[in-house]
Amino acid sequence: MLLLASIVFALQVTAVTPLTASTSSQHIENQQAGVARGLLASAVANDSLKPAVLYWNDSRGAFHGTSARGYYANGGPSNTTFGRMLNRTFRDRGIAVDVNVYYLTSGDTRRQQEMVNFGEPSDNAVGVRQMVTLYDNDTLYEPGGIKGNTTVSEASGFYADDIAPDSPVYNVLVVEVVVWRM
Amino acid sequence: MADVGRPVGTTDGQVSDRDRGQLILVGGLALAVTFVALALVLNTAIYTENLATRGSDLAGGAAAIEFTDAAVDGIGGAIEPINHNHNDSHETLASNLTTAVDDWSTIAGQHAAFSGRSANVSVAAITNGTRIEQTNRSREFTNASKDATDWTLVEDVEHTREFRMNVSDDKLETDGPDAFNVTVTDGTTTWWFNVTEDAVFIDNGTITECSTTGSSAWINVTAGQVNGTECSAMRFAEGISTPYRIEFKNGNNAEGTYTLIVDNSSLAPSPTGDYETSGGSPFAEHAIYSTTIRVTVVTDQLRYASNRTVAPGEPDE
Repeated sequence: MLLLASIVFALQVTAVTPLTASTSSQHIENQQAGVARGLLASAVANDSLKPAVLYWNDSRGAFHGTSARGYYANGGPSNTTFGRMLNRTFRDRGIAVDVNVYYLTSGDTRRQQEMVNFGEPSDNAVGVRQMVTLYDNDTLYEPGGIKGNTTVSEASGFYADDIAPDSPVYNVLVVEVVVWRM
Repeated sequence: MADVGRPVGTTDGQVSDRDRGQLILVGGLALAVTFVALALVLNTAIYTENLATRGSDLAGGAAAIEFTDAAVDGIGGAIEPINHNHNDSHETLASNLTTAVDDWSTIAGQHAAFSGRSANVSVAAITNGTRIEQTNRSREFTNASKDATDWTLVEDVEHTREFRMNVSDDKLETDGPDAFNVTVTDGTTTWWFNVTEDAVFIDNGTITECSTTGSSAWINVTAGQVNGTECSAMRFAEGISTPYRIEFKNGNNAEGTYTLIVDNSSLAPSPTGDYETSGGSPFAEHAIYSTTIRVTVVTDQLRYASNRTVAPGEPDE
């Protein structure tokens, strides 16, 4: 009887391990970081990351089809390949996404332009970064993902400025994707 | 005499009730402590295994390689505008490229500093070359003076990149030996491809056909694509040893535009009589063929340095 009671007690003890499928598991964080890194690498490979960064409505001063806050709140950028990739990989599986674009100004400060915002990331969110280079002759994209006619150097309302005026490089942006379980 | 040697309720040779109770208590306690110790050991083992199976990128090498890849992409994209806009001489091209690389390095280095890394990119070497191009869409593929339909574009070439052509159906033959032909030869072996109205024929030992539909054919020779689809037989200069020369044959049987960049740097300063020198097509301009950049990344745990060659559009080996 005593033996049985002790075994039941011991079983209770071993149930508390770091392997339970909670949202705070380190393995899940690593897995999500791997998926996010793969998504960014695929976006670079199929040329869909730069059109997403350039999906800018110059006259309005915000991304095409965003709310008044200037960011997408319930999915990736609408009507872009990058937006569809984000939705299929993350939103449809219950993983929240934040996409931020960091750029430098000519005064050497680093500013952040929010692209997708599902809310404040939890304590167990992971962030993955990818650099994108913009050139003076890159054009902004119209709704629907079609290439437009205005180059970034001509656009007056684009968020990043040309901080290398003596070379074809316009600016170097860092796209950060933050993911966490909803 | 009263027997006071033994407690009440016990008999000789038997354990008393009190003793039995104490035994059960101590035994139970010992068992519980044993099981707790067992659970502690088990948990330690599980935690150690969990820790051991996490990612192994302890020093941050993956981030250094990602930075290097971004540098190759970023600087590769800057070479084309420089080749088009600053091609007065090889020196002008070189100084513009150095400025572009320095600018990229400054900006990207500041981004990397926000992640705790000190990163730098510099130009280690530049390979000069020539950009040969025809931009007049309604011109045949003959030389500038139009007196030769078979002519040599360039000799003494070791590498070619970004060889693309857009041929319209108008002057193309339907078949046969008079079709427009691009030949690459090193003197002994030859590699060639024909462009006819319906297909591109490539000779790499056997003759393979990649069909083209529509009124014009976009052929990306170095990337091996015809009209956007993969043409696996189109492996530029397969089996040809360097240096080689590139020739056009039956140039009057094709019309359209083409462009290529070769690492022969002596053609641009002194073009042959086959090229236009004052505007018009075809022309041979100074160009950068490739550049070797040196990327260094330093963190508190890692010092990484690497030389990478940037030559966008080079055929994969």
